[in-house]
Amino acid sequence: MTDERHDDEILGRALSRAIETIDVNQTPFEKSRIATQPGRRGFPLWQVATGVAAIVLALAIGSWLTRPTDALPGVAASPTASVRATPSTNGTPAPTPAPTATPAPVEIDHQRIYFARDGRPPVSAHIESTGVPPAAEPRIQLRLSRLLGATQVPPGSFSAFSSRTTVGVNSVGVSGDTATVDFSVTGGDWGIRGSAQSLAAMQQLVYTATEEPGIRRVLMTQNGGGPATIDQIQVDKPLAREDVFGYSSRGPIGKDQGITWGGDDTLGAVGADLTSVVSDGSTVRLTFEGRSRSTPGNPRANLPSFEISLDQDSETGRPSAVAGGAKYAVTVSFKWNCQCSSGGAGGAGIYDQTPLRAITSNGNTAYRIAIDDARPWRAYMPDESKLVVEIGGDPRATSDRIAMTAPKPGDIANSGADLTLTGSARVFEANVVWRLLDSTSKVVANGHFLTSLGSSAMWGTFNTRIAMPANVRGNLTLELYEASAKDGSAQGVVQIPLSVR
Amino acid sequence: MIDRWREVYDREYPRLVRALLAIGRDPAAAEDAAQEAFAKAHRIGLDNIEKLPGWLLVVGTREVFRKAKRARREDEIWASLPPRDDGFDATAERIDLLAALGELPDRQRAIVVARYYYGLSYDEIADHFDIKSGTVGATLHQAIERLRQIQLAGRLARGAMR
Repeated sequence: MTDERHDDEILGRALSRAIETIDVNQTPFEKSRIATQPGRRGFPLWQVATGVAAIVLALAIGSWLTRPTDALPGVAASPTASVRATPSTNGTPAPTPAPTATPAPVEIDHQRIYFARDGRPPVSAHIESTGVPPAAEPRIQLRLSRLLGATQVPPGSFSAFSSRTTVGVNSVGVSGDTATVDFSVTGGDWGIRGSAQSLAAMQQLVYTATEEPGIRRVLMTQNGGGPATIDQIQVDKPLAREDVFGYSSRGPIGKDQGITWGGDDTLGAVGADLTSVVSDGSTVRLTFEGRSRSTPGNPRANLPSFEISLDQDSETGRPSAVAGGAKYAVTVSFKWNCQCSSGGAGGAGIYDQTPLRAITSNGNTAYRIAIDDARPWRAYMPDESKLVVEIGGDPRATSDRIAMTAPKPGDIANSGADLTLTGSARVFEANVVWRLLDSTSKVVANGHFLTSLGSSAMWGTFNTRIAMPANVRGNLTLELYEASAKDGSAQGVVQIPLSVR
Repeated sequence: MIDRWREVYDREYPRLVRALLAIGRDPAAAEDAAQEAFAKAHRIGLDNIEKLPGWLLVVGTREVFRKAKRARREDEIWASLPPRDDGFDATAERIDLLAALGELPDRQRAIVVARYYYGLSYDEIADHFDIKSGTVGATLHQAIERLRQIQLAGRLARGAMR
């Protein structure tokens, strides 16, 4: 070996020793992806809010040389929860029948607990339990205990908690719309490692605790009132579902933030049918079609003017015969341009599929869609007679102004071939900018395209093809954004990881 | 089968996370990438992967680089950490080395870790990282030389502050 090579080896070995001293989180095998979810895709980092990421990093670096060895979570007997999975949580969205227009005494199922999913908001599952307590506090405690002790998870989801967790619920208090839950955590160790699992745990706890009607926030403490500290995340304020759901923003809330749209008001008795409700566990897509009510056979007709908005719903102030409300509701109201009665049979349909809980309507001009949280929503019109209201989406593919439906995160694309992009956007002058980044964040291709509609309350749609550069392969990221009219900066970015072959 | 996976996992996981942390400098991304590498290996099957440790390292490294943009943002936090107390020279040296490693280009960093921490041969590195085997030695030497310079500069800077 030459002297030079020898010196290199010495420094190399010193480096190797330095790396060996790095203290790392040792996620136990039971919590690893291969043990919990064989075959699922990688848990992306979208859940980590920038602030949290910074804290996690600073803590991790600060503790490189000081962090004691993590104790393994202890073993304890835990109650068994039987879990019934709804809805179908992966693959192609399954069409769901539209609700019937027959009035029926229906209620939303609140015996539900939540499980985490890769890159998507949590999903709920029904728990069988007898003797549900009559008061809110013990009900919250029951759901959380069932969550912590869950031994089964719905397909496509996972739990951040081991069924052998020693974490328990000490006490639950309720004040106004906020629940305070104190957990017993042996040695302050939740048995959860890493930011992805910590965020998953937070989502599961916040969603499950706020499943109680009327409760919007939860303050989590541990061992008698100290802030709950799950791995490196410390909780010091009450959290709502929107704080943990993973979208970059909430949907616009309130009538003034809604969409008011002028339709065809010349036709008289035209109402809207809800012709399809598709839910894939993250997204709800509702299609409305204009129908003439005065012509036999109710042929398609241009839709009249309408308003859409997202508002807080009341879960406690509604008569149960008209279906319980949910945390939020999207209201779609069509104008009735006939002097005659708008008629319609009042009715409710219960879905209880995250995030869609129920739809109440008169089957003609008024629809109220009860949903779990204030996730982003949008509306677009494929033609004058058709309106699509879309709620949610894959958080990686969804921003406040762009929602991409294809390709999906993790899709495979072919080098040198065309790639079809579809989705909707509400951007300045209908202009969407795209760029393709390689694994070192270098831009390998870019361009822009127009949506069907720009600078309006209604979203435009796009279905366009871009050419994937030849000779570029591997893990690439497709970014779509709006270039700021002011300074050209990227606004409302969505980032789709692609595997290019 | 699970027992075999458990054994592999317990043996390889800590080393993999350390390597990925050294390469990507982002604890969350390192853990995520390590988990993802194991999940992929699990899907493919133990018997179908030759030389698993190197395979995990390469797959994990790719995952880490996917988060490169994020890592860059966090570099700023890294840079703003206060200088280490100079009472711990051995510690300071280790930190220096790791910090110096962080200043190398992505690819060099990965190759240095593969060679010196994972002990992969030149041929294995060439194979896994898709480079000509003749250039592995030169790249490594270049990287180590650069490490030495950065480390020296760090030492001088620390000395100047005393």
